[in-house]
Amino acid sequence: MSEAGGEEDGANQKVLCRFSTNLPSNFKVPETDLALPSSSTRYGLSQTVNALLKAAGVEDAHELGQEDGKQRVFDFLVEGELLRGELGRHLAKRGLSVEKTISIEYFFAVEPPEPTTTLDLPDWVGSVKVARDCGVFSGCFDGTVSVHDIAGARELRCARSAHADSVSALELVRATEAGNEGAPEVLVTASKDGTMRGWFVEPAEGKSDAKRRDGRRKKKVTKEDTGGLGLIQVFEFVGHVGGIESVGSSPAGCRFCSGGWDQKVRVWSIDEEDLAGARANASKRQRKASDGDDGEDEVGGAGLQQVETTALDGHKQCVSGVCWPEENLVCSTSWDSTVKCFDVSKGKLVSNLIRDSALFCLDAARGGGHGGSLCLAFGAADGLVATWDPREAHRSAGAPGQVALATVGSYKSHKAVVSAVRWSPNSPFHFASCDYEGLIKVWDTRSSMPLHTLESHDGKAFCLDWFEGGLVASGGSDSKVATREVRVSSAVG
Amino acid sequence: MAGRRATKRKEASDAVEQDEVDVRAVERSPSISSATDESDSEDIELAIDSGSDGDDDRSEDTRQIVGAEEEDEDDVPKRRWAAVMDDDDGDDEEDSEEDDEGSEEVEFGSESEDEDEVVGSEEEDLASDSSEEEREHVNTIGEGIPLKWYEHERHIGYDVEGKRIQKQAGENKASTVDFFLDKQDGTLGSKSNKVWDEYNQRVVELTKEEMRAIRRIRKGMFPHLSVDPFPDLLPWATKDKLHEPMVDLPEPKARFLPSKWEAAKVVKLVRAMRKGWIKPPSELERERKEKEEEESKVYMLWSDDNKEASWKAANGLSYVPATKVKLPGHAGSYNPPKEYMEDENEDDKDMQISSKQSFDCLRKVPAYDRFVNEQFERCLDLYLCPRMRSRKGNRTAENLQRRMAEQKAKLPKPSELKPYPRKLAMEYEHDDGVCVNSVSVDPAGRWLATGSDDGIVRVFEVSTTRCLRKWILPASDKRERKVTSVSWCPAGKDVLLAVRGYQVFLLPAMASSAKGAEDTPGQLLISQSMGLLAGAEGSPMAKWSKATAKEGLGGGKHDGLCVDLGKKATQCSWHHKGDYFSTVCPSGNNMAVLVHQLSKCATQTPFNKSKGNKVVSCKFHPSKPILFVASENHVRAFHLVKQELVAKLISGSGSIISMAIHPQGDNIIVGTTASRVEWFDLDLSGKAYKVIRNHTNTVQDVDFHARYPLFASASDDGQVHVFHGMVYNDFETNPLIVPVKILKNAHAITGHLGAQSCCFHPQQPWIFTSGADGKVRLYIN
Repeated sequence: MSEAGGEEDGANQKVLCRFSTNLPSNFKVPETDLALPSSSTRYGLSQTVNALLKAAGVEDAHELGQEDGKQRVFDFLVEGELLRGELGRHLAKRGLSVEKTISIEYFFAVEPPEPTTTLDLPDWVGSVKVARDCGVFSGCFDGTVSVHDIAGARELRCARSAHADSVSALELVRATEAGNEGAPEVLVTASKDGTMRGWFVEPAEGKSDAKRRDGRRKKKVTKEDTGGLGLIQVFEFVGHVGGIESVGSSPAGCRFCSGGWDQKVRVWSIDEEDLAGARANASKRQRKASDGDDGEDEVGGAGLQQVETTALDGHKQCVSGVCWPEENLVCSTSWDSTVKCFDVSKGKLVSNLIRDSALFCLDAARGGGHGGSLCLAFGAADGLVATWDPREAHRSAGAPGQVALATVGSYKSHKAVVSAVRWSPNSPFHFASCDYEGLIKVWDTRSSMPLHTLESHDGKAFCLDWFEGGLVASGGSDSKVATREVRVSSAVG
Repeated sequence: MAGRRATKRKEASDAVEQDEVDVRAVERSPSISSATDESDSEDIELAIDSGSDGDDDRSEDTRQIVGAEEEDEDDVPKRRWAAVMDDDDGDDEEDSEEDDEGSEEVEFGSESEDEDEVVGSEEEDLASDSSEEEREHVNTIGEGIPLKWYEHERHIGYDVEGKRIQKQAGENKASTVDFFLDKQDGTLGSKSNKVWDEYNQRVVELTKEEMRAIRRIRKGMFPHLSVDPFPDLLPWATKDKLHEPMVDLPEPKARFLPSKWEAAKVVKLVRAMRKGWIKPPSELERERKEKEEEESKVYMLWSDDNKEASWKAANGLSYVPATKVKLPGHAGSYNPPKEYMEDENEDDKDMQISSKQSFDCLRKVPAYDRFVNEQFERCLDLYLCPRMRSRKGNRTAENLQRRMAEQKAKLPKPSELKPYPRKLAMEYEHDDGVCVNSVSVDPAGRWLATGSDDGIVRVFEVSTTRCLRKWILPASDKRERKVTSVSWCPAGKDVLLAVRGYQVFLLPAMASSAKGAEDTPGQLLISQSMGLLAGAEGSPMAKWSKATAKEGLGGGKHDGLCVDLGKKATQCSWHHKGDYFSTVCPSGNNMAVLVHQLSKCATQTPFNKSKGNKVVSCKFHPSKPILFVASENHVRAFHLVKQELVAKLISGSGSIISMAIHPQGDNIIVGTTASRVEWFDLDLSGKAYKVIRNHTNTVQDVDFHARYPLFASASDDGQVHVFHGMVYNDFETNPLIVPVKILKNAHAITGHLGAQSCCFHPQQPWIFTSGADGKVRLYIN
């Protein structure tokens, strides 16, 4: 088999391959060397694996294929990179010999997402957040925050004017330290007018007056859902001057950071005591409000005022994205084309990356990147998405704060400004990005080409969230939130 | 045979002279060698000739004779000759040889006596002695005396006693029949191996060996066969290195001592070379060549010595050579061919010069009757010819191209000058087809304000293109709806200045319409100023009042200030501190430029007299109290404190439309109607440092970047050009201007108007452009 291939010309050359996988045992193929034509592509290999599985006697059609009899689609990892195009060319590009046995790892490919479900909103959507219990939070440019059901009919559960100006960021912050799953969560909303508020989200049916008030207030919300939610303001975070662009919560909870036009990253903390006090305060006010005139419950009725614990200096222009990947590490991107990482406890700059275009968004791989490393992804105005491991840079550069460019991976496909990036919640290799052309691209860090390009919005896409279940929600200037399932198998190598 | 001939000769000679034969023969014989020495003598040559083509048998004969007579011929050729002579003389006797030899003695001693006695002894002498001595005494005239002196004498030389030695028979023989016969026979001269030795007056016979030698010489070979010109090389020294030295003597010490003499010589030579007394060969060769070239250079013999003088006369007029007259062709000939003769029937205009007559020879051609007229006309022509010399000598297309390429090569490449705006990123929506006249970005770079023809001022968020504010400005005059200029307060106070018609509006730009929202700094400032309005006395130039702009977005109304200027205003700009601002009313004469103070609601006229015929633009120096006023043709810089004119810049072409001041304040760019952008350096001169002719239509707006070395121009040709304009802080380097990007088709041309305005982002290398097509675009790096 192989010697026959050796004599053939380059086009029909055969490559010795050996398949391996981390998939469950019923998806394992026998570990033998196979001579595959060098012109075979991902599709061809996928069919080969399917055939092998069939031959190996995976009888259960449902297990192997999906319900409609379609075959499983696999993706292949050759020498650390996803196979795109022909196998021979892939190897030649990386300077690998076709004469050695090549080990190919396969796993389920990220399947093309299903058609979009859209949620209509009153204005441009500036921020979106998916939460397990409540659903999809979306912040609009008119300052309203809406909550939609995550499943089923995706009905509107709550809509409330939260800010005078557009809501630029939404974040859920756990009010207690990690470990306490049932801990109350505070919704932090940030606006471009510089205000930031903390909200308590609770079911509206328990509080009839709140529900009633909601119904009165929101005239445009015609149908009041039985599973309605109420947003009660509990905190007013005072400190930012100028608009706030981004909010990121600490993985452990209780703390979060925010960045905006005052060129500072501010760190805030809330604890349960504060929360309890704030709740008491809020309910008191509510009762008062329901007793008295209801007109006073204006936008941003006063909550418990909170001041930031730390303000991190360093950026010279608008801080466009913040994230809090580890307990003491806060990372931020700015229009001054830098990515900076700060040690929160010391309030010090740890590492700094200088790019050549203004950066618009940032996200860190949840639960660490591949192999527990820290991986940041950020998008730039020139359409470039890049990933960077600040600690790797720190190791190679030596002194903290030094510029290191070596460990930057760049992903070039967007043609317009990249407005948001988001890592997959359950894979250290996948992330999604959206741009001002209304496209969402799903990426694998091991391939320079996007896995999928999803047309989501007519205008610009401003925000993106990738929920654990695989739900990708994005909001844009067509006043819609587009949601779709992008399933990434956790067994991806 | 030889013997017979000899007898014959003998008889002939005997007839002339008897008895002397022997004696003569004896006398001559020893001097052969001298004759052979004189190898150039004719006879020998003859002999050579004869030898070369002579008969073999004859020479064989001779040899036989010789061989018979002598044993050792090789060693003693003289004796052979003697024998030959004997033979010649025709004596067959053996003893004649002895006689001959013996005669030598006679010469030394007395003449021709006692021959027999001496012979024996002499022979031995001859054999043993060297021949030179004998030879010397044969010819007594001496070596240096030419024979021709004795040509007509009967004697030849003198003997010891001073007596004349008579010429021998041979001398006479040459003229005798016998001699002639000998020659004819071939026994003498060219055809025999015998030659007549004139010097020693005797016949010499050459041996075969000698003949061969002669022949060899004639062929350019060595005379003797024994000479080997190419002996086998004895390889006593090889190229291979020997293990042991050829000579095992130790090297003498002298070889290791540097030669003092050589050192001295070298020093001498070096000094001579340094001083140029001697030159190395290469130098000499070069000099020689130069000299040769100089000598061989062709030059105009009759040209003027001084070339400049020929181009320019003493009176300053330059010499213009007369145009050359075309040489006459066939038609102009005095005897033209028939076809050139004028045809009566043909009225061909081309043949005007054709001769009417034909003359068969030049002599018959009469004088030209129109000679004087023609010369006069020619002089007139020259007199009236334009005496202008074209100075464009080397302005050929290739030269121009080359020069441009050189200039280009000097400039850095645009890719080295990054960042600069390159690609379209966003568009800010306006109502269709509304010409957007002006754009301005807030100092933080977050908001963008635009002013358009429909009288609306809009504020957008830069990053999201969201239109946040929209003010419909109240118009005093319905016809003047256009907002011509907007300007964001540079001091971060969020006050927006907008010019519409006769009025200038001050708007609290980012004021929130929500209840309970805090007042923005701009709002505070404006409300403070409003408080002053009541108390302030009305200024004659401008009327300050409260104005309410209808806001189209977000509900609610903001109170602003309105300054009514009474004349149509076109442009406004802020002072860098954000309190003063200036407005321009082109038709205002001395009130064209007004300076307003926001905090006091006051207006001033900085100039008493009208400055320039039509003020177009007016801007403050970014740091100094200097006001730049651009009128149609000039830009004037006034010091506001000293009240004086600091600089006056003259625009080269067209009238100025727009102006921008470099953030350092020492450089200005203006855009003109003649589609030029002119860069003025205040430190250099009042004239433009660089004129950029890249646009094809009026340059509507120019702008400098606040942080990056960039400037841009927006033109009615729909394009926006971005330049790298580096200003150096040292006073020696001139600004570097490099075009880096043409934003082609930035705006569609609508009603002869293209791009109307351009404005850089204050921090990013981004540019906002607005156009008559109702689009506002952001280009990013």
